[in-house]
Amino acid sequence: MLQAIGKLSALATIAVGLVLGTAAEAKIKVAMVTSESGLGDRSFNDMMNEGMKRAVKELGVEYVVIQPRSISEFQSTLVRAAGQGFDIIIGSSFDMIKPMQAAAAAFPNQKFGLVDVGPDPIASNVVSSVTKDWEGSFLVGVVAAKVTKTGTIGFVGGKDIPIIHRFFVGYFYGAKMAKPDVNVLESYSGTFTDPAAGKEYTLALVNQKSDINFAVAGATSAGVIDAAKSTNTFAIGVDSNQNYMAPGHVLTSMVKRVDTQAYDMIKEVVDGSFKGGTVKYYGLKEGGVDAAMDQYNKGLIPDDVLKQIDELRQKVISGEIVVPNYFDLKAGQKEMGTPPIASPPSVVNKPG
Amino acid sequence: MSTEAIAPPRPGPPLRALLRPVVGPLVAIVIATLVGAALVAALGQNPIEVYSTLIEGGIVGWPNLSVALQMTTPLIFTGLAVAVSFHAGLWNIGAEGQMLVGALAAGIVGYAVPLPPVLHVPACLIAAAFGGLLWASVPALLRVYLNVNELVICLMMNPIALLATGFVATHALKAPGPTNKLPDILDSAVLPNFSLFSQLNAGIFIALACCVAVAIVNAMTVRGFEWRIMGLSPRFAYYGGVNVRRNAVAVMLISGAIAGLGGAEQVLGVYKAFYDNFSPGYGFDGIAVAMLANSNPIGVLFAAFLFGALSAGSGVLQMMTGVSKYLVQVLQFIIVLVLAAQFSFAWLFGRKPAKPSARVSVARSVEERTGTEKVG
Repeated sequence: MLQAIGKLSALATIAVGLVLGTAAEAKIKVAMVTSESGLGDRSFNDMMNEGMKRAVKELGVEYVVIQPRSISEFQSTLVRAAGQGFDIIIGSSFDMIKPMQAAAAAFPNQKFGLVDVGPDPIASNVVSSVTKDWEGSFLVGVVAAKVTKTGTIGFVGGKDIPIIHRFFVGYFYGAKMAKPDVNVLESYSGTFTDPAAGKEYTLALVNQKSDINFAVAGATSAGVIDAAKSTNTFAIGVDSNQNYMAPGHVLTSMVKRVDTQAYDMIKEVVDGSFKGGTVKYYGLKEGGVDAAMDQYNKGLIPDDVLKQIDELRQKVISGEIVVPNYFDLKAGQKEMGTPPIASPPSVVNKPG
Repeated sequence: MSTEAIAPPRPGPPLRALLRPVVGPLVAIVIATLVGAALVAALGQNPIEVYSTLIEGGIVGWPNLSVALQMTTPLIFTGLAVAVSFHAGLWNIGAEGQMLVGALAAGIVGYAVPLPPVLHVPACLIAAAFGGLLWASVPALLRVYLNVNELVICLMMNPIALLATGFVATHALKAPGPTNKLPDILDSAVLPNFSLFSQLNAGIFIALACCVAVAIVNAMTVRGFEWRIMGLSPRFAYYGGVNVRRNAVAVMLISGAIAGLGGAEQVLGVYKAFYDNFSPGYGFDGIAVAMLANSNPIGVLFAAFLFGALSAGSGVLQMMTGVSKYLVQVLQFIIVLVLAAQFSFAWLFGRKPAKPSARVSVARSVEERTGTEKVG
């Protein structure tokens, strides 16, 4: 009986859909696949969900969120979603590259998107995006240089590896652009997982008069933020908005706007410009990185400083300033960027 | 269920005796289904639609079924590991940690020891079983020789395993790249997969074989009989001449080895490398599986499949209806809750409570004994 009602109502829905379908096109259906941490992570997954909501509002699409419990479920999730008639399936995280390649090969007509991964194309029916984190680091470097009272700012990286140097070079360049005489201290805790080390390294920087420290160190960053709280200095968060972690002590966060990246992928599907196999770069111009401003850091940065920061942002967008990418720098390069400034010691001594 | 075996045969239709062990779990599943339906309705969704999507996504069609079997496999291992210990009245709830250590061992042997394919997989399996066994030996020995409650030790060994294996995967032997994992295992160590739709692999046959082996040992050997007596009444077992101490150690080690094999299945068949923190709690789900199965090794297969199919259906449910993944977890928790409530009701009303009181008393009597035991 209930089943009959269900079937009848399904038929009715289809009928109504057909009638409406003649008037308006069928809605674009989007599937968002989270990484294993799922929604509620106050990080990438939540931010990407915001991008979905924006697409619903502005593009009139429909979306569902699929949350695999572990990396082992990525492939089965993607492949089964590919059979469900979604117009695009969007995922994130490096761990999804291989599963998505397998799914994309099996369903060559299915469109996929993968946000915030490396510069290598994933597959001929996948659009992927790269975040220009060096431009975001530039922006928070500007903020730090403008706000510091001691004239010294610091950087706590995780491991001493090229990808983390890329953040430092952007940060250093931004700081020097904003205030040429600012002193920038560089340090690497050697770990992405140890908050205690983050705290130790930050205290050492504070002892050298640094009052703003940029944490690019995964879970180690929590220690950097903790140290900012205990020494009444500022920390700068990274990747996702970490301002809430210590309100009043996180000056801002360098956020990767995965919401914008996902939104743009949907938009391409909607307006028909989706082209599989492309890799899109997201810097300041594309709205792919930003310095997070919210209720937790309200008032920490004076309005006139915000205005100056915006001027420099505009110069990057117009191309007047080109922030150096560490991977493009040669060993021992003395000057970097456009306009050129003196390279920090870590670039001058860069191993060939 | 095993009460009948030693209780004097009662008059009554044999069908009833056959059904009795199934009734409890079925009641739990029905209650969970009803509560879940109420929840779904409260969320403004149609329960019938949600359940039919859940069932369809769980078992209808090879793609869905193969995902369900993929999810089932680790639960068979951990469920069986826990069931083996419950059966003998011991509380090995450390399957999570034992699985992680086993997985790490398999991951290391899988990438670092080049061997011909015929030997490589067995070598990894042995390493994994040994890793799980090693991790279980700590609570086992502490339990038997120092009277430390194995429940507490097992529980504490889980986060230690997570952090220790995490250290190896993030520092000591980390593969280059952004993910915390060991290098990929060699092709010779891979357990073959069957389809693109899931990472279901040959490991499921190992799981089945383990269940059958345990069932045979339980039903047909003296050892299995002794374990069952220990589970029912350790005092009786002791006075009947069972070496409770040695058997307790053996049960814990076997339990740990099975959990370790579960880790090998994940590494060799699913991930093809050891990943830091790869388990979404298979070891803990295993406790629920063992409870639902009433510690019967064949029952474990069905209970694991139920939970596996629920997980697989959950994926499709999210695609089709947008109902959160948590619905399925809530269903699982309610099942466990109802089962636990059954035990306590039985205790309250003085009915034969099958196992749990036996479990408590084994803890006590082994404690009493370990100091004074003379009989070998």
